Amino acid sequence: MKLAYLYEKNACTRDVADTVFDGSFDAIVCGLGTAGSIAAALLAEKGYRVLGLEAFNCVGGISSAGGIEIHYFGLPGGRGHALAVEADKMAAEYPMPLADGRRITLEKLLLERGATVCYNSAAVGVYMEKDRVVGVRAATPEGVRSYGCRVLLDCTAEGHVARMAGCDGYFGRTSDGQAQPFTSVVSMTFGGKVGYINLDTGRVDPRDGQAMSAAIIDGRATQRPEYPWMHKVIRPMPLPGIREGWRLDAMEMLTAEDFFAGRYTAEPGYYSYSDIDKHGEDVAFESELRGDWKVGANVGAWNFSVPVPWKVILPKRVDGLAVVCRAVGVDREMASCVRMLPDMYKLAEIGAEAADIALSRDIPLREIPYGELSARLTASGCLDPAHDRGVWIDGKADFDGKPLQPRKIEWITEPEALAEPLATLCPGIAIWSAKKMGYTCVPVLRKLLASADENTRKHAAFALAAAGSREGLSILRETVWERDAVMLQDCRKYNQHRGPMAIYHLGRLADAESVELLGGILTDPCEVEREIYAPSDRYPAVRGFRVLYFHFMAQSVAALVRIGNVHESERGRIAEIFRTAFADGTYAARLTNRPPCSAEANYVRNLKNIAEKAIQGWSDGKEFAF
Amino acid sequence: MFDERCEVLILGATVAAAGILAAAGQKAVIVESRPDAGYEFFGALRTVRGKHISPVTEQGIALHKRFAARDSLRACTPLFYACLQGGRVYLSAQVLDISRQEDGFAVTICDASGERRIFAQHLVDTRAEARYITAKRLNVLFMSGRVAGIDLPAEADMTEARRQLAEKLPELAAGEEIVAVADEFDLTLADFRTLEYDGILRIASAGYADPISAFDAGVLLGEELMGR
Ligand SMILES: Cc1cc2nc3c(=O)[nH]c(=O)nc-3n(C[C@H](O)[C@H](O)[C@H](O)COP(=O)(O)OP(=O)(O)OC[C@H]3O[C@@H](n4cnc5c(N)ncnc54)[C@H](O)[C@@H]3O)c2cc1C
Repeated sequence: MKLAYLYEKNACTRDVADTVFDGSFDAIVCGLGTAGSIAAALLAEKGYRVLGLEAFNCVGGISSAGGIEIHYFGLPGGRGHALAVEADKMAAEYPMPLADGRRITLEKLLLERGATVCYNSAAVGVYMEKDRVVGVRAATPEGVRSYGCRVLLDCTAEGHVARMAGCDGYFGRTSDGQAQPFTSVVSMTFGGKVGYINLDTGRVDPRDGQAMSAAIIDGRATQRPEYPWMHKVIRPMPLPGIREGWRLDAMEMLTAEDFFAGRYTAEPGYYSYSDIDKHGEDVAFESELRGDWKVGANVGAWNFSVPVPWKVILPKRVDGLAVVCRAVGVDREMASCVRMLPDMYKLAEIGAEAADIALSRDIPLREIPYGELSARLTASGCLDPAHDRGVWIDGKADFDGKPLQPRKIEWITEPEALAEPLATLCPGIAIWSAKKMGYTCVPVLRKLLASADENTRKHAAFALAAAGSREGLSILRETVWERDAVMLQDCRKYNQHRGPMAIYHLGRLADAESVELLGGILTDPCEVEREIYAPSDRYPAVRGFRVLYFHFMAQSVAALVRIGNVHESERGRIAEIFRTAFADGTYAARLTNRPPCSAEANYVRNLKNIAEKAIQGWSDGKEFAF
Repeated sequence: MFDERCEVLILGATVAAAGILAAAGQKAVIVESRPDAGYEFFGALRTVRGKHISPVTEQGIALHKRFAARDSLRACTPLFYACLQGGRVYLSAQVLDISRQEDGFAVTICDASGERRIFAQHLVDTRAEARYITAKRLNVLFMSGRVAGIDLPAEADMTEARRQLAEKLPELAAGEEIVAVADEFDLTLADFRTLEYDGILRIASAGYADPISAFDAGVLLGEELMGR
């Protein structure tokens, strides 16, 4: 037997032939958070001997000690979801915030079902027989203990156990390896109620213990005792608000590329339903897929349903282990769609049912028959074809704060029908439809370029670019030249301004003629004085950060990098622009006065980092990858 | 053989630990198994016991001044975290092994990055030891700012505390809305000032009447350890 553990972020093993387990269980659940508490309860309900190891002193994880109370998107259905709802219903009876009540009621459900719960107990190693997980080593209040198991569910949110077991995985975006900003969640009182606010505090790699500690401390040290739009801070929530971390390289991966290309899994476990918006103002440095969707078409906050393969929970090489938390096998775009609380309840159910089948038949997890699993998931309502809802504009409030009437999106298939939405401030549907149609819509769009109507003309140029055509280039340049600050209205939030959208398309088309125009945005110190960049109260949470100016700059950096990637002859000129723009800290001072540990300071630093990385890559003969 | 060295390794990111850190700076390492710090006061929703706070160290006096400008202990949480900024503070880090060496201690810890062996000349435990705990209380904070709690025996764990809280809620809340339940126990300790056994110094932060006194005691101990 070997003990697998981490050393300097890498998986290592050492022989531990003489280990005697302090106890043996059918299943061990590491992390009794959002997913783990439900998975453990479901397995205990089936009569298995279940041990739950939780690093903190309560169950619920982010949904309790992390202050994330609301079910925002995701769809109901299934036994796991029902259990969570039952806990919430009981918690609603208590005169306290749901996040506090859940600690009591989820724990009650878990204990009533006979699970053994160990708090302040963190998994620190995994016992393995060849490629099979057979136990876990934990640091507990009584000292280090070893427990044996037949199945281990990694519900640590970060795939901490899977990483120890040597499973491969992914982290961060391609451009600079960073994940979405992490948050210090704070509870506050406002209007006689308790609310939670997410104070984004820069980016951090949760796999790096020391960096994580520094980020938590910095985040909490820079909090204010009160915020003008709320009342008073009650307390920082004890668990850090990590949205995105390590993701498993699973037996079947869910990727946005497959989804947008219409390639769906043959073995779904459930349907996820959310948007892929998600945090971080420097969307300019995200993948082109996300860029096309969120910036190019301005539909980032639209929801869609995705069939999630059940095998996203299974590591490729290691058996006896399932990853049942937000670290499942999804790519970055899908990670922000498949991490809602209801997703966790459903993944918990899939994990528990898969473990049940494997345990009762004494077969490896990877060999369980999908037919049996899907029958169970269908019977419980976890897997429901009615959840295959397509694309929706959904949510409580629209872009203007008024109630939003949820509506389904049907993509446009006739080029002639593109004109109508293009004439409005909601051209997203037409832009993405044009992208789907490709060249067939170009003749119609070409005509619209000559329209006297400004919306039609500019949005047709966006649609042409999305379809891969360069015919709208001069209008795109004109839109940038004018510093068009009109904000579109397709989405309930995170709507894009036309200027940065035009820059994005210029970059995607690698328009060498716009190098000077974009360079001016970056290097002219007077650029910031334009009226459109004046601080407004649109973004009260990010006072001290010129958001629109940042978007113009960030998109310009990304576009110039794309242009340089394609036109080698332009690289020298672009490198010079970057050197001038980022020669010293003055560009940063023009953008923000927020503290260095803030998310905003991180976005601003990234401008320079991306530029420098691109220059370095070009000098090594490499293109920059987004 | 060692991944890291320090003069003093402090167990528990308590307020007293922050005091030691204030005196020892980069020569100190704090190792904390929880993801938060100062929990024995802030997480426990403690109110100040006793009236007179009279720190004697320069750092203690300065922190006292900053705290005094805020209207509640809870509102001082960011000021406390600021004391930890820039320090070698490792949160969510588990202690796997402590072994005595000729000239100090070898401590193996494990955090998100994995295992790490740290050599420390001195070891200070600032956490509350079970054997000195005489009483526990689980506090709740009300919308009005009032703090109340349920009293528990020293051996009660969080599960028992939550069970009792649910049971006693109607009486405890008396119709008022709770805005937070404590993340940690409010402890009463029989003995908490600096003790030494097995070569490990112990100063239980939770035993002090208020965070400034705990911080001040930490600074004094830190100065002593640093030979000042
Ligand atoms: C700031 C923020 C805002 C969000 N907003 C929403 C929202 O509005 N709506 C929504 O639906 N979703 C939201 N989410 C997403 C959602 O809350 C999370 O994705 C989800 O709760 C993660 O669940 P999990 O089970 O993977 O992890 P968690 O709930 O974090 O549970 C992981 C548990 O594992 C424990 N643990 C970690 N390591 C170990 C170890 N080694 N040994 C033992 N235990 C360990 C932790 O202490 C924790 O209890 C938000 C997330 C964040 C961070």
